[in-house]
Amino acid sequence: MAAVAVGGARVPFGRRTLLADRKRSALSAAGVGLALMLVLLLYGIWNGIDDRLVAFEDHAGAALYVAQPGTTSMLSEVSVLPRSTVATVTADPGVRWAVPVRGFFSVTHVGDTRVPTYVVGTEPGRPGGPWELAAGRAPAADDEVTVGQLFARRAGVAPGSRLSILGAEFTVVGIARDADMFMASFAFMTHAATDRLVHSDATTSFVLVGTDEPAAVQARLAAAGLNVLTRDQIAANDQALKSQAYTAGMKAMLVVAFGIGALVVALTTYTGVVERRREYGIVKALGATKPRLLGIVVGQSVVLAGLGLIVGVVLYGAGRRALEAVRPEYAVSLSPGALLRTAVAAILMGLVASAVPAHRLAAIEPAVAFGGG
Amino acid sequence: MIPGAARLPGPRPAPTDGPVIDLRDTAVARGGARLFAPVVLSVEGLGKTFGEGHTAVHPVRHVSFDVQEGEIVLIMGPSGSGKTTLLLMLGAMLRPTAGAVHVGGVDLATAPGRVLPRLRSRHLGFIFQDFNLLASLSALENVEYALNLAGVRGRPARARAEDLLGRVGLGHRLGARPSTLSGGEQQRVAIARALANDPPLLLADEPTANLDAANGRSIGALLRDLATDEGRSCVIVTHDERLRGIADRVLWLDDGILKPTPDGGLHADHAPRRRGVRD
Repeated sequence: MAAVAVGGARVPFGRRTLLADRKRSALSAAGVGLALMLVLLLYGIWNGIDDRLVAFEDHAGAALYVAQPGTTSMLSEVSVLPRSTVATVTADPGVRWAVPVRGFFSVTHVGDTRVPTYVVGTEPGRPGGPWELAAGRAPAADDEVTVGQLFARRAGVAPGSRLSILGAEFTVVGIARDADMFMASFAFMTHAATDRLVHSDATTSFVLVGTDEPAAVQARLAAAGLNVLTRDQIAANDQALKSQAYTAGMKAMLVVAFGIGALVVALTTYTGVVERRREYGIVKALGATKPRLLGIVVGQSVVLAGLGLIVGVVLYGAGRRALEAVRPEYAVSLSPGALLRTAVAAILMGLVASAVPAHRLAAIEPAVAFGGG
Repeated sequence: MIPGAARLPGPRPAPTDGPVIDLRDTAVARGGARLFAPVVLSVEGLGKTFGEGHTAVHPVRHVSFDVQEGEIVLIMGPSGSGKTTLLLMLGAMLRPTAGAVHVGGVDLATAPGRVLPRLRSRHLGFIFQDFNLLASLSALENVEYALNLAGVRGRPARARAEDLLGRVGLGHRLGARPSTLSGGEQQRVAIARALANDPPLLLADEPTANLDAANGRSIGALLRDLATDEGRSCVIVTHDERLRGIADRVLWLDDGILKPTPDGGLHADHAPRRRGVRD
């Protein structure tokens, strides 16, 4: 009487049962989708913040950054170097170019509007200035400034507008693309202008170094007593600023979104098990084993989470457009890795969510298939 | 090879919803050659108690009987007499508190819980009062799913399911959902499902209760054919007096104990009926 185990397709009882009530399944998928949209948006915002935080490093073209001893990032620490450092660096035979860049946070006044700003002072025509212009030009004179697009939008400025930084008046001569971070916009001016703002013409913040042999140059400059960081090091440290400030909150929101999604899946699957108690009793009476029953519930939960993922990706697209329209300081960009993590999270969501209905299903007696008598 | 495929009866004309056979004639038609037929089900001193002390209830007490290959045994009795409790114990769905139930070489009273699903799927076929088809599956899938539960999948399962449904006269309704089938058709699907894994023993709970007279007779005839032609045994719990005609024996359960039938008919305590000897 032993049955022959044969490979091949099985009747998809779990999926059919789940999708038998289409309205409920659709609502559940929408609920899970909303939760996953939140996860995707959080990932997207997170990635967008990362991208914008290192926009300067991405575009300046420097392989090495010389900073004040002890300073490891551009955005979260102060760096003051003697201007003579530029000559020291340039003297290295492996250095193709070296330019001073001054950078500091400030608040720009445009009438009654105040815009958080990261001021970048560079030598006109040399690396470190605005990398792509949406309008106008890069600053050439010491009373000129080029600001990021978001800055211009917030403050309502255009080439020709006037604004005030640290009490000094500037004329906007250009609008730069990709020059806005989530907490501040770049404002480019000449190095000499920043000298005037900080009352120090003998210093700079960083020396940007162009070289084809970064490791060797870094070693030689370090041996000469300079604090030299690679582009990747300083970018990573700038991104760490965000992590220190926002990781806990971000993780909390991700956990909440995950929890909401798991609860929706669990509730839907559990309700289905309770409502179809007799059908599951019949399946047990027909000889379904515990692993088979567990597989039904897990399968249902994962299918629901998968449908939710599809809905979530669609909602993410709409949510991204809406967010960028309302809050353009948030550049939302989703990497393939983040999408993969979300897909894995959705599957995990399904697995976690199947625990309660699986327990409920295990408690159903096959005897419910019979009437009394 | 699909288990037991060779034992299937050959194709027969599609049963109709109308009268097919005189049930009493069917009962007479069986011979008494089951003298040495193997025992498929053996029940010894079976009892079930719910609760303890003063609140204890004993729905089944000291029940003993055997069922032989190809034998149909009717269990009748008033409502609340313990028939369903007895059937649940025979079907490995309720543990006895006393006695033994031997099916397929396993004592259901003491067998580990993990072996019971396999036993239910391969040694027992269930036919329910309310048909109990899975609503989200088609007629074909209902039968195929029972095969899946026993480990048969894919094309062999589908072919076997199609074959069985064809033989109960539903070859033209393979894709129909249970809600679109008549009561008689649903019970035929349920019988095909019960036969899916070629079990030697069918357990039926009021199989004709929700059917009209014609369909009831038709289902009874089908069960009789399965016993006569394929040697399949069947235990039927029922109130339906019409099914007496297809039975080899009738057991009368009253207050949890097997007793002589009210009309003095056959029952388990009649020694000649044990081991399949016909009067």
